[in-house]
Amino acid sequence: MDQDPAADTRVIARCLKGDLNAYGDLVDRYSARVINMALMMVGDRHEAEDIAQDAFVRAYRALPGFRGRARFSSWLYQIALNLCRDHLKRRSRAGAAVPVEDGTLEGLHSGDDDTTPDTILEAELSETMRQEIARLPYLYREAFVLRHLQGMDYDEVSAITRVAADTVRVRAYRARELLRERLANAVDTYWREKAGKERVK
Amino acid sequence: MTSRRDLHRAVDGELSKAETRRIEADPLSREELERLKAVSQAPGQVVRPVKPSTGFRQKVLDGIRRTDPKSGA
Repeated sequence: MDQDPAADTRVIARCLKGDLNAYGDLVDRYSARVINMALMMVGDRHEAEDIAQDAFVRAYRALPGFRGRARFSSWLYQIALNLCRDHLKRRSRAGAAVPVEDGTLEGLHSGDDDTTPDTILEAELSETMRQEIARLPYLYREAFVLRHLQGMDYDEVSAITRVAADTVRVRAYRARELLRERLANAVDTYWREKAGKERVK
Repeated sequence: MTSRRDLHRAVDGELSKAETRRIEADPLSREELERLKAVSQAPGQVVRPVKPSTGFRQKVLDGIRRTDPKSGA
């Protein structure tokens, strides 16, 4: 992951002296990653933003107790993941269905107005993937999202989820097995068509 | 046929070059390895990251000011 823990430490020191705008720099640096992780976990963009916002507020309040043994980003992810778990528990108790964000619409919402066939194909696969990732059992989803979408190694995932790296590894393996079964056709089609287009170019 | 565990270790780049070559020499194992790699790598390449909505930073800072008046409004 492209982070600079030393830069984070300097910003945190300013925050601890009461410089709230400095904290805004950390928000800018990590907000997209935290929102995207939460979106994969809870499946709804607005809920994901609320969770991310709450995570940043809680992290700020807890900064005086942050000892710097872990990276700030890992600590922040841990707070956000705990909020995702609590959110899903509440939703489960309320008997609400799991929403799945529409990836195609998402591309359009983010100001991406490129609607070439390549983009449409990617948007379709993107949506299918979001849906299948959202269907994974929670613990497998957590391991898969942190490993493959956030690009963390197993030790980092272990530090955030507080389970042994070997357990995280097994959960990621199982997530991949489930996704291989469910997504093999969609992924094969995507790569085949993409490879065909590359050859034509 | 290569074990599933070794295939996953290959996806994670945890096998030696010699072990990886051994897997790739077997067509069935190679095909399965490619599938697992595609499933692992495609989400990072294809799933479109969302951008924070306009004003997200300000909402966070306002949230902090509301709950922590000492934070310098």
